[in-house]
Amino acid sequence: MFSRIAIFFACLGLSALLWAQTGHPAKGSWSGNLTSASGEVTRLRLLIDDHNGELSGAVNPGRNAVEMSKVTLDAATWTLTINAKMPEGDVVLTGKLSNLGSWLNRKYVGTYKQGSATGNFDFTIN
Amino acid sequence: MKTTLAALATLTAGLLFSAHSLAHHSFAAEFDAEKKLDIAGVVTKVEWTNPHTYFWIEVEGKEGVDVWGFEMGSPNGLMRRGWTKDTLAIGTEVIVRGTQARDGSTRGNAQAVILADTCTRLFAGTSQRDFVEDESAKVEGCTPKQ
Repeated sequence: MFSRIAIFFACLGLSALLWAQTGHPAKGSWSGNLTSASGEVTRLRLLIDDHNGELSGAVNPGRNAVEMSKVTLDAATWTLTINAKMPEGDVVLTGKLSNLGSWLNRKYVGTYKQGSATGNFDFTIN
Repeated sequence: MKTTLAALATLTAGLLFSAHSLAHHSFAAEFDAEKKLDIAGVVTKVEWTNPHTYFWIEVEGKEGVDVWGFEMGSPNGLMRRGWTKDTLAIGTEVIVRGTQARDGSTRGNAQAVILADTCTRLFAGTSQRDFVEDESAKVEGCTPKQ
């Protein structure tokens, strides 16, 4: 009897921690910069959603949002690739997710290609 | 046996409500009513939590982007003022009117949020006691973008 009640309270206490789980590590609102090879910096925001493991999203969500045409994650290496048809030309972001257990400092860092332009990017989850 | 059970129940209740208790505080303890804010930015994050709802915006500054975080009233209080969970979608451009944190950081207490596209003003359920929600007051400093 006592052990059952103890287990009940333990489960109740842990339930708060379970509520805090967010699901897919790429899901969420991200902000960061693209830095071109020439040093030009462009601020971008990403909004990524997950539907049963299928990723989708938008670049610069809001009035001028651009829908991501393809989002793929290689879970073995945590490499996330995002394709989007930006007004300035198609862009491909390829980078790795890191600090996956962090609420505030999860990172998505890599390189991008837009036409003949290339550069680096660095996003942090909001 | 009974004492142990009571102790377990108290501990569990304490764990469950500690976060809420920590989040509840007086306006004057954290915010300075004299430090008025009128700031425009883009919503990057929203947390509908009790006892306060929070949201964050990115603001273009002279030296790059600043992130400001704002406290509002409870979700229930906001809904009574016309808010829904979709009102502040990520990427929404807003103008926030309120007061800044006493420590001078980029945190504030929102009195009203104006949706920049339509210049719709929504009061934010501030806990500032002397703030009056005047629905008839004009929304100034905003031109609809749509």
